[in-house]
Amino acid sequence: MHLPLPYILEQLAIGISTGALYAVVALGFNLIFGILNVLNLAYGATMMVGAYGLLLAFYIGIGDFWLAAALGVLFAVLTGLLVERVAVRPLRGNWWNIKVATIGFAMFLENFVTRLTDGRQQAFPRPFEIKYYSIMGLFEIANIQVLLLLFALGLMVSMLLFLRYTKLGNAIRVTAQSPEIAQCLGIDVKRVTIATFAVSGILAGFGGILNAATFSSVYPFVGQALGLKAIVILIVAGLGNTRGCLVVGVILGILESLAVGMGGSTYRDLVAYGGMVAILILKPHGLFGEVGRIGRVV
Amino acid sequence: MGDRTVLRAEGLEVRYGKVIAAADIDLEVRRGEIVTLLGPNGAGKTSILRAIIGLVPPAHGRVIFHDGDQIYETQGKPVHALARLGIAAVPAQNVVLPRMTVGENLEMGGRFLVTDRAAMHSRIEELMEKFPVLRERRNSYAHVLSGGEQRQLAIARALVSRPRMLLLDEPSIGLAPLTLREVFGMLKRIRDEEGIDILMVEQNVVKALEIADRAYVMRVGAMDFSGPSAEVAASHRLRDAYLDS
Repeated sequence: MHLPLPYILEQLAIGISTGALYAVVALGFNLIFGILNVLNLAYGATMMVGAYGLLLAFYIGIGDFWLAAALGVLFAVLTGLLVERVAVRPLRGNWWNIKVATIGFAMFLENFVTRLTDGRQQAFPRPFEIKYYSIMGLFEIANIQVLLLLFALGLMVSMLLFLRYTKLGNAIRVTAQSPEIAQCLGIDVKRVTIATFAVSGILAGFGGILNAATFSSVYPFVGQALGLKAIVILIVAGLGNTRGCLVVGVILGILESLAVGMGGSTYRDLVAYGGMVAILILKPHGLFGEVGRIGRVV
Repeated sequence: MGDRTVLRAEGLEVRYGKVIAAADIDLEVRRGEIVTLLGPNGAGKTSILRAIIGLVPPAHGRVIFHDGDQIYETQGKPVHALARLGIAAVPAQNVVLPRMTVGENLEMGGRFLVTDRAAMHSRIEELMEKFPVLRERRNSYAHVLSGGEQRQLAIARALVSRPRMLLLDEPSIGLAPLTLREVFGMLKRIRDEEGIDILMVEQNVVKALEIADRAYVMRVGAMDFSGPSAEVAASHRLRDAYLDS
């Protein structure tokens, strides 16, 4: 099989921007895992709510894409807070029940949106018309992919700076490492947990919107596929590892894109998830993982 | 109760479900004191410390904290609220933030309790003088430190906010004899130089009695006896508490 270089570069560029989106999604997932040591399986549905929140904003007459996106993100944040209040806080300490409750919450949201929309795939607006730019005459890339990449990189950098330099970010990092020490250092762990769900909701909202804008469509169960990718990224990166999420997210995006480019869309998940399994066989605790952490989760 | 009282527990009872871990416990820490709570495994001393710290809500009893003219009833208050009152706690195990450097660990000691960041940084430098090993390892991740270094880091981190008192759960756990001497010497200096009163739960009876002014001895969920360290060390009841358990 001979593929021209421009084609490969194009697939690579698409892979990097899609991977950056995956990294953002996994980062939000990872924040909750870091705090609670349990997977919030309603995270995918929270992304879906973000995308439908934007559609709702358009429906009620907000014509500006970015204003509607802000409303979508707000919906996702509120959903994240509701998940914490309903499916996590009452079950604190019972990790299996939290998993079941968050799955149940996700199913409720997905079916609720299905009822509202008749389950049909909806067209999703884009912030601008699609145009293609030539990169040094080598290959072309769509402006939506550039936006996706820049936005995702912006979110990643913002999140890293937030965790590193703000008081709340520091509190999240300390609580993720030891809730007991966090309390001894004057941190109100309950409030930090709530705030983490809100921050994670921001990432979920943007993730859902960017994903829908890229594919120009959304459907009620879109969060399942994205949520699964986020879980895979988390496990392959090494649970609880922020840096790992960013790296593995981009790797997954590139693998997917190259697989599609070289073999067609049916190869996408085969190659991407096959690659992830291969990494886990070689490094069972993930690329950047701590030995022992995975045992507490699965 | 004397005027010098800093912390007092009255009739404290800790339960885990229907199991009573400790009941009817009275103890007191006075200004300028190091007090140790001793007892064999299962006596309930860590449960009492956790109740005082706020990690476990007591079933009965009161904990009273004196900060100058202010008097606070702290039983049932969450740990972070106690930390803000100036009661610093160091747990027995997993004492450091493993994925942060020594410098970051120390910074976190004051990040949520000290409003003046410049003062916090100068306090960290001051503590680095007291704990030279932490200065040497400032940029190392905490998880690579030895057990003794981690313990020193945890104590130094608790001191960043200049607490009124320090509560320690088994500070000798896992320490080699030389490191143990160093850590306990440090505790004494903290009390002498910084005027921070200390209550510590300890298994190492001999070393604890060497630095403590007074000791309380527990046996199977109840207070057995108490007194000045020299008297407790000489008492046959101390040996009985351990041998009969």
